[in-house]
Amino acid sequence: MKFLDRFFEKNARSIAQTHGRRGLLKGLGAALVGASTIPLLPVARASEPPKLVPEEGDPGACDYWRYCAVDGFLCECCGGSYNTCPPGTEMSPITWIGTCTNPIDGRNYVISYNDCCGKTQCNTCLCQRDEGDRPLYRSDKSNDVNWCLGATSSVYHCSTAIVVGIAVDKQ
Amino acid sequence: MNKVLAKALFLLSLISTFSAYSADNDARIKFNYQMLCQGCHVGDGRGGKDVPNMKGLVGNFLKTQKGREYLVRVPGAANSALDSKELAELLNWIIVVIGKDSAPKEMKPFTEEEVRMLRQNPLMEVVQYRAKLIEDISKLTREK
Repeated sequence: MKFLDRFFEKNARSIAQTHGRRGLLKGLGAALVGASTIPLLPVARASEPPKLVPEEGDPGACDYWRYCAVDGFLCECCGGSYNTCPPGTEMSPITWIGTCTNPIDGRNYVISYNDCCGKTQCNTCLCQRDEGDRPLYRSDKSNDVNWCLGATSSVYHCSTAIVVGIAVDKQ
Repeated sequence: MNKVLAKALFLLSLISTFSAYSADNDARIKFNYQMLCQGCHVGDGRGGKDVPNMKGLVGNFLKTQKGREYLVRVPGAANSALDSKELAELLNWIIVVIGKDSAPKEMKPFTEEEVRMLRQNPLMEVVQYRAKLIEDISKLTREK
């Protein structure tokens, strides 16, 4: 155990000789200031949609916030949900994308209106709000396109409304 | 000791200011990608059906000058609602983030000026033009 005594004594003396008593305070202060800048480092925070989007309302009703630009039948009423297709249909990966304002937090979210395809029209909960809809000559921003063109079958069944991100306002 | 510390602190604050700035930029670029590209090219760029796959591939176009020009002249880019500065920024982002390491190492990023010039001459026919480009590029890589 003697070597431990010697070790600590030697170290304590050498620290006492080389460092001032206020040195610790200085170091600690610097560390505190330094640490406060760490939250500013590039962590993926702005671009990720929040895991849980605060929502309220009835996803089976046309006035639900996500449907601000929908033109079609709501999958919510057709055996699917606003995120998923009803059984027996295929989600078209190719889709049109718009933004809707969430009334709860007032933020604009990017919504992907993927169509579900492969069965005849669902014919329930027709919802046509068309906010931000553009004429067909801007086909990527038009909801009059049959977006099932990206699926195996181009027969349209219903529409989903998936939150894929948060909108960034133009400065 | 003090000087070193001060320098380190200054550097750290510089880095964090810059990264806060680039995080804002990333958010804007990603939003532009989502609004103007993702509908067809899909979130990770893999495309589908008639939409070309960009994932891990799109950087290959930078291997020839014609290929480089194609990335700006393709209708989705040239006719997009973005101004040339944002289009340049978005293209550079797509090449790195979606193209992964498909771009040549000495890749020169698009500048606003270059994009402004190239997009004035959008492609009218894309499918055959693109097929020919890919053929030329793969010949070039085989020869190397």
